[in-house]
Amino acid sequence: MGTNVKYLADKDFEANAKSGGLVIVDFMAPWCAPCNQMAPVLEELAAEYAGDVTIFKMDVDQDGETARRLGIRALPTFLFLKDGVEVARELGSFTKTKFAEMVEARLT
Amino acid sequence: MSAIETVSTAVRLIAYHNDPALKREVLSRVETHRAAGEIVPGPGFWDGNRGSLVGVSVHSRDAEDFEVATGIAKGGLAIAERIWSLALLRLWLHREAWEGFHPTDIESLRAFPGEWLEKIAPGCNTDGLTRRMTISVLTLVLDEAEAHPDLEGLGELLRTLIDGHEDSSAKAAASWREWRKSASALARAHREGTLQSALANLVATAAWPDTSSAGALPDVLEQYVNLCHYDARDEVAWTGTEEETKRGLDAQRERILLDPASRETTALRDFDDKLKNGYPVFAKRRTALEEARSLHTVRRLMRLRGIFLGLLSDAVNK
Repeated sequence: MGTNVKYLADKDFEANAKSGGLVIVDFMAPWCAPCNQMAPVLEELAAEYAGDVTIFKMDVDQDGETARRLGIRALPTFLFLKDGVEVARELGSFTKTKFAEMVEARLT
Repeated sequence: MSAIETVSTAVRLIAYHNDPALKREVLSRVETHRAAGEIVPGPGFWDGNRGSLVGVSVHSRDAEDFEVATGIAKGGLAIAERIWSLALLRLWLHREAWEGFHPTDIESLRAFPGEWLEKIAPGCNTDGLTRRMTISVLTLVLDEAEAHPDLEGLGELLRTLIDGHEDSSAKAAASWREWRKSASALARAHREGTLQSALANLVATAAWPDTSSAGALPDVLEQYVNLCHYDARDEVAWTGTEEETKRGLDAQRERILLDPASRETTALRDFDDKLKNGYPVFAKRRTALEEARSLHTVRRLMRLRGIFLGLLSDAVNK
């Protein structure tokens, strides 16, 4: 398992969503091919933007409460949060370059 | 140049942990799943019976487990999983359409799950695969870009990028960012859906340093295969009359699409049905396009397969 993107449980969502800088939560499931496709991209970006961006994964099969509460209806969905407030949500899989552009746009 | 080089990292991967028996075991496992039709597309999948390449090789969905179990770089696995996924999703779904006209290539692609593992000699090091594959694909793309005079800037950028990958660690992160921006700007300078824009987007996707390109390379491979659309389009040209008719019909469709009143009716669907059934020339062209696209998909996939297997064969023992 990669080391840069940690899994988040429902009970830990609130506390981690408010951690400093930009937080991205990837709502995914192990059987979801586009989610798996994004996994190495997120691993690398988490390392490259360490200090500015924190990326978490939430397995909706294991911890589905947060996803239900936030109205997540497609996988993967990426939630971009600043100080616990949602600033954007993106659906689907992206190339690494495209995802990096989205990250950079929300960092400024 | 060999795919395998001395690596500077503390841990050096040794394929199959230098154990031929382990290689036989992995290959036998993959072949069993292949024969049972249990190898599915996508990376990182294993449900206990069926899996993507990682799943059927080591019965896990984790690329790290694959690396530990086989001693083969997960970057190599990522390349193999994307080539296999593209072959399955782009070709196998249309099996009847192409099986008759490219049987040998299709057989080769079917054998790919075991073939790539077979090429790796026990004891060799596969750390340089991602970088070498990136350089090889960019070199192919350079040839295509240079065939288009209006893509002059892209050729220069590609050469810079290939040099960058040749000596990745010597280039600052800012350089890669700059190259990505330049390629994206070139893509935006051309209309979306054009070959120029597709090639420039591919170059932007490849502009990541060696240490972090494993996540990007599978997308580069997919974008490379997607260029088959332009190969096909170039081959199946419109005649002058067809072109004129098409322009008129496109304009009619656009009017229906933009008319707010038509949104509440079936006007657009009716028009599309008319296009589909009422103009045999278009149906014929659509079939010709699909066939050409299948052929070029096979060609491009076979090219990627050939390069990848070549790099694996070049692997130097120990």
